[in-house]
Amino acid sequence: MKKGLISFISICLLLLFWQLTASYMNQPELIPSVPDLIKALFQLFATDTFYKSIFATVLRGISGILLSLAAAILAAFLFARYELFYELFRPLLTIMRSVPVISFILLALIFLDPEGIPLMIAFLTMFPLLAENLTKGIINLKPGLSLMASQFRISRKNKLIHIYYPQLKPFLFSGLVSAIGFGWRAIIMGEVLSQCAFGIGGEMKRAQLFISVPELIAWTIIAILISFLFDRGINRLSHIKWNIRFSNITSEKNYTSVIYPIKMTDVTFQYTDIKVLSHFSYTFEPGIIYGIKAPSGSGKTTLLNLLDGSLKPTKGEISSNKEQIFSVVFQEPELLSHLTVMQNICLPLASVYNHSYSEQKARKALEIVEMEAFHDRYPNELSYGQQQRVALARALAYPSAIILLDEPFKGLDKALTIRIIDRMIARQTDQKQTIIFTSHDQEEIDRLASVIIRLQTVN
Amino acid sequence: MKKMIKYFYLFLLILCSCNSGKKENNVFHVAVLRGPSVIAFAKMIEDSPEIDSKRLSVDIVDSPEQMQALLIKGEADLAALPMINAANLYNKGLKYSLLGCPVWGNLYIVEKKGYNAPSQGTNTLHIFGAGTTPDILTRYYLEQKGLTYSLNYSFSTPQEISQGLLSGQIRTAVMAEPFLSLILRKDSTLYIKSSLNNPDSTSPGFAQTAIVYAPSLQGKSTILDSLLDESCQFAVNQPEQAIKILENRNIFVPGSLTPESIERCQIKYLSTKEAKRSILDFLRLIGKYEPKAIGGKVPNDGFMPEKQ
Repeated sequence: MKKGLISFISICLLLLFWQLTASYMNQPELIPSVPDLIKALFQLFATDTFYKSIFATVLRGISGILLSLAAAILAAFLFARYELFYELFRPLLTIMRSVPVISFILLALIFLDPEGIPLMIAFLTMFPLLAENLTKGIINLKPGLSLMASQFRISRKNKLIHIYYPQLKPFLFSGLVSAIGFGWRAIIMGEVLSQCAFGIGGEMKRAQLFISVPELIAWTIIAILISFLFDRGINRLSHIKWNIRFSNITSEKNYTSVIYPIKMTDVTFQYTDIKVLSHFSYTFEPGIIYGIKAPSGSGKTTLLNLLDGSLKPTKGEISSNKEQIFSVVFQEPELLSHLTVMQNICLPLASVYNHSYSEQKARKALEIVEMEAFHDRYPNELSYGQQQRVALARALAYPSAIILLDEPFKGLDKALTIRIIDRMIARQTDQKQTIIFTSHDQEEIDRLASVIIRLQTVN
Repeated sequence: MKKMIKYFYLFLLILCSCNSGKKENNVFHVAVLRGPSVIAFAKMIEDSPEIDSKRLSVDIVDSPEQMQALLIKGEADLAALPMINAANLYNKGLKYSLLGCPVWGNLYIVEKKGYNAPSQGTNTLHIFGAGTTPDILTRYYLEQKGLTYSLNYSFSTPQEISQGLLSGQIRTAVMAEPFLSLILRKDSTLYIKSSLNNPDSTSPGFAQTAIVYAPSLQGKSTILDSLLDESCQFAVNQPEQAIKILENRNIFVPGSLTPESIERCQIKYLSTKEAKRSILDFLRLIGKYEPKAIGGKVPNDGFMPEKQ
């Protein structure tokens, strides 16, 4: 049976139960029948105050949500960035969540103008829920995706919409759903107690004052309906798919025309207690394919990170033209789960090209890695090896001077790897980009690299 | 398992015992709303008189909402509550009839001395109880006197208005006894500007308060009238004694009631038969301004039966 039908039957059963109770009690003014309730509901629609009251309460609700959300975003950003700040305010948030709503209302009644009370109550009930959820969301942001966004110079808008927002979305919307459910009831309670001139709560209080039970129930139904609509609205909002914002440029910019060497002089890099690179000096010349071979833990990934600037050397110097653009294949594919394969490749391109040209470039790159048939799939529909190929296609499609590949053929079968390498060599002959890649596999290195660099384990 | 069942029953027992207000069969339950009506009942509270060997047990109810709930549940045999609530409940199908009226007005406009009304714009008058007796009687008074005020309902109870007046937030307001006496004593710059309780020279006032009875007291109106009349006369003639009774029983905080405040409550018991015209006039007046307050219409004759 369909879900909607079951809900409908459930509502009908509730109405039937109400009707039976009303008939049994036989006090139509105090326990109105279902037809009387419906009549009261329609009578409300005909009154002038109905729309004013709905508008006032909804306006209070929306203002409360927006105010709380804006404050929560700011607070969450500060909490996530400064731990001390979070620790300082955490007890306050816990108190705000634990204080009974009625205490807030009673205190507010003493100090505030009645019209302002529901809004303040909305803020006090919604803000802690949103702030805590968003803080958790910001703390849980994946650093790999942020690094990817920064390496590919993804525009600020696209970064916000496609890198940060999807990661924060579960936290934001679970916070919003509970905050709105809780806040909505608190607003109405605040309206009842402060007796605002207009508002659903004020109307409920008046109905109660005049012992107008059908009207009171009708207003309750209206409140439930609006709460339901808010809930649906939030649900809809969470399902909105945001498009990638593309640049207007239609032609190929010649990014690869001037490629500068990268000179590493006596570079040492040390994580807190482990030294991974010691006194390394090398100059990477333009247009060459470098293969870096080394045992695990001897600094291959660190070297790539030093080259693209995501790590700074502990000692030594790396000189290169700062304008040079890198494209990177990271240790993990770092794909965005809410975007298709095509969109994942187009996202970095969006800052450089228009939509159709980006897709054209992405399609060519997908052909190199033999993934063109998967262009409309989402990453979670792909195997690890396929995801790795998409990450490689993304790096190849991006108009960079230097391509840094961290074990790009991991998880790929031999024959496919060879075919991809051959296409990359052919492409490189034409485009003259500098390619620096790491691998454990001697055959991969021998086939792709023009120059092989062997790193030694640092003791 | 047995232990769990035992605890479950224990839990149920605790839950049920929370609301085990047993109703005694050998008493008539009298519910009186806290306020001027209680003053009228002081002697009855003290004496606990009997009717047909059944004691009249008086309970004080704190809010009109609680009073409505008591009457809807049929837990009171006799009740003193605002007239508009009594009429409204009757129109909602409750089988309570009107016995009489003990309080004929306790509403006054108070103002700070030396307050000059703004030369431009209108003066603000703070009122509590939007849509109820204080609001309607104020609007009626202003209309009769041709006065123009901007009405402000942001302070919803006499207590809040008292605080507003004492803190200086409010300059002019409608106040009710016994709060009025309290603030007049606390702030000598406040004074009574006008009384809202005199519809005309022939009427005893506005029939603000009702005493209603349940079918269980049918046929006992004569003795009830006499007891209530005696109790009201006691409050008026021996206000100090009445105050002592109410203070001793912690119904009013010591010092909150004075003989003047009792005088300003206009306590005088009139049975339905004696005051029918005044009661109907009052209900019609309310119906004119806010029909919903009395349940949409003036109650039919069943509310004020000829034969009680």
